[in-house]
Amino acid sequence: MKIQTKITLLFTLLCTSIIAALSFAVYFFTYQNASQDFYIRLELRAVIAARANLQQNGDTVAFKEVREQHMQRLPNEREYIIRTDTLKNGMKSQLFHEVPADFISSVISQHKASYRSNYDFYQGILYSIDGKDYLIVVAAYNTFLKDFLYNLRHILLIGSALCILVVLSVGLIFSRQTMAPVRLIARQVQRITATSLHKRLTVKKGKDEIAVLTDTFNDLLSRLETAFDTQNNFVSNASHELNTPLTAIIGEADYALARQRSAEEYRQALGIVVQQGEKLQHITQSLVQLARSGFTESLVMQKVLVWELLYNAKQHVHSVYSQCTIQLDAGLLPEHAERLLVNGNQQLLELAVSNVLMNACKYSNSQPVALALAQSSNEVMIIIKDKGIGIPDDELKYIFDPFFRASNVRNISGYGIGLPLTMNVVKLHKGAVEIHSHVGAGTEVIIRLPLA
Amino acid sequence: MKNILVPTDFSVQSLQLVHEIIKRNPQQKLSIYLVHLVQIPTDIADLLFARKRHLYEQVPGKFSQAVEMLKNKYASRINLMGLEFYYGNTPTVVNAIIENRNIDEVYVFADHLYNMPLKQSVDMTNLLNKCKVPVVQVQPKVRTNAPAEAHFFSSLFTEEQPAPQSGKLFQHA
Repeated sequence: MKIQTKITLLFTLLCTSIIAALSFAVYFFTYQNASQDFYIRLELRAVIAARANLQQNGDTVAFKEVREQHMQRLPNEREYIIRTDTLKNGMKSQLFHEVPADFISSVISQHKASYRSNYDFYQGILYSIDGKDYLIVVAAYNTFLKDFLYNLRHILLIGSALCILVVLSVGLIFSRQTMAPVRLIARQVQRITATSLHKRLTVKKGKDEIAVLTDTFNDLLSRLETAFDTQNNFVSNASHELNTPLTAIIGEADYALARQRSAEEYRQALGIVVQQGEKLQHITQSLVQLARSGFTESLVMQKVLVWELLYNAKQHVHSVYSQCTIQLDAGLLPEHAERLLVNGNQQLLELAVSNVLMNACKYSNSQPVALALAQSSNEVMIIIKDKGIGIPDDELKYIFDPFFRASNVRNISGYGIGLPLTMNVVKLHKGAVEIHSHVGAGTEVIIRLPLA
Repeated sequence: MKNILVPTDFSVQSLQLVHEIIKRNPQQKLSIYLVHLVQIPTDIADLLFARKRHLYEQVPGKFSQAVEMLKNKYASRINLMGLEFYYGNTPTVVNAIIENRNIDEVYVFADHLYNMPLKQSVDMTNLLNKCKVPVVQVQPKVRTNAPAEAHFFSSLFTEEQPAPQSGKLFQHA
């Protein structure tokens, strides 16, 4: 069953039971207590009956008159007047068949008592006159209460039914509303496939569970995307690296085979083949090492020395672009730079920095690239400035999209993977990448990482 | 201990002067007041409430970050360094600031046209000619007037190599 249906049902069940309990309570207590008023009326009638029948003086007439002219007879109203000392022999009276004996005795002992059998109400009083006690009981059938309860029952039943209907529909709307963000997430996640990993779920503002869930999903996607891009980057770099010696080998072999050569020439050609083959072997070995050491493990976060990070990245870029000079600039270097630490994964951060450095080298026609480290109040900033071709202003916003390449790259080869990868790595470390650029003047990339 | 006034237009490159100040005043603790003058407000609301917060909100984040970076770079040399706004457009105001803050020297770029970042900004360089304290003119490094580049952090680069103690770390890394 869908959670939405479950919530609706549960909500309806809960509300229904509350409504039902309330209705029962209302009905029960009304049934119990609505008759108080009727007893008071009966008591009044009993007193008047006593006055009218037993008083000796002229008031009797007046009371009789009041009774006959002004008091409406109640349905099935009866009155019984019995002298208490004749009680023993008055057992024949109809009253004794209608009411239990303890009612009579409680009237005598407490001077007043009431009794009820279904809708027949009895109110008895003890009336003393001229030293004689009289037991006066007035009884009537309470049609008011009967009608009232009947009405109440109907109102409660219909009301409860309507309430349940309302609760059901409100519950349906309510559960729909509650589950809407979850459905949205599901829909958005469905749209993300291996080729569109750069897409993210729209993040709601706030700290509620759904926002946390969305963030978690986005984090997961970032990690996945980084892994994917790392693989892509790795493959493209690797193929490029492998291609160079292979081309040399093939070229040399082709040249040697083109016609009959002297033994010296063959030796020379084979020497080059061996040399390039060794290079190839070295590359494959280092690739295997790279694959083993870095990207197959899960993300290990540890304290990383930023200095060391920059140094390693610089060395790495040097090994790829040997003609490119990278100058470390002390212009903003904090006093204790060698102690600056960030939390993160050394390999990934090195990859991020070296990607930016490689871009700087690649697009700056072997002009020097400046690399600087700075520290603001709570962040470490790695600033990389080149004097290269720059990025057009209106393309800056796409620069982190995978496979996007600026329009002014001309014949400089590339895959559009480096910067997105850097962005992802830095995002994983809760940092940010900023790019400021001016066409023709160069580009400044700022990598911000929170201080450990 | 020396107090120094530096006019600023909130551009990162205007902070280049800090490097120069440090270089020219070795072995001294420095307090650097980055000052920006604005016109006295004519708006009744501005007159009633001194809304300087309003002004501080318009300062670009990169400038504040650059100030922090420089503070970290010269942590042992700089006593304090911060941005201050003053109202007024006369040399008297400048002298009042100098007196008030016990300023010993003023540093400005030689023949540098300062940008007017706010609509109520005042060009302070013209007001320094009747200044009571020495005004040091510093020849700027190669600089551009393109506003975008004035905010590059790299305009604070000095092209000097890191100190040898960090180099040591490089060697055994």
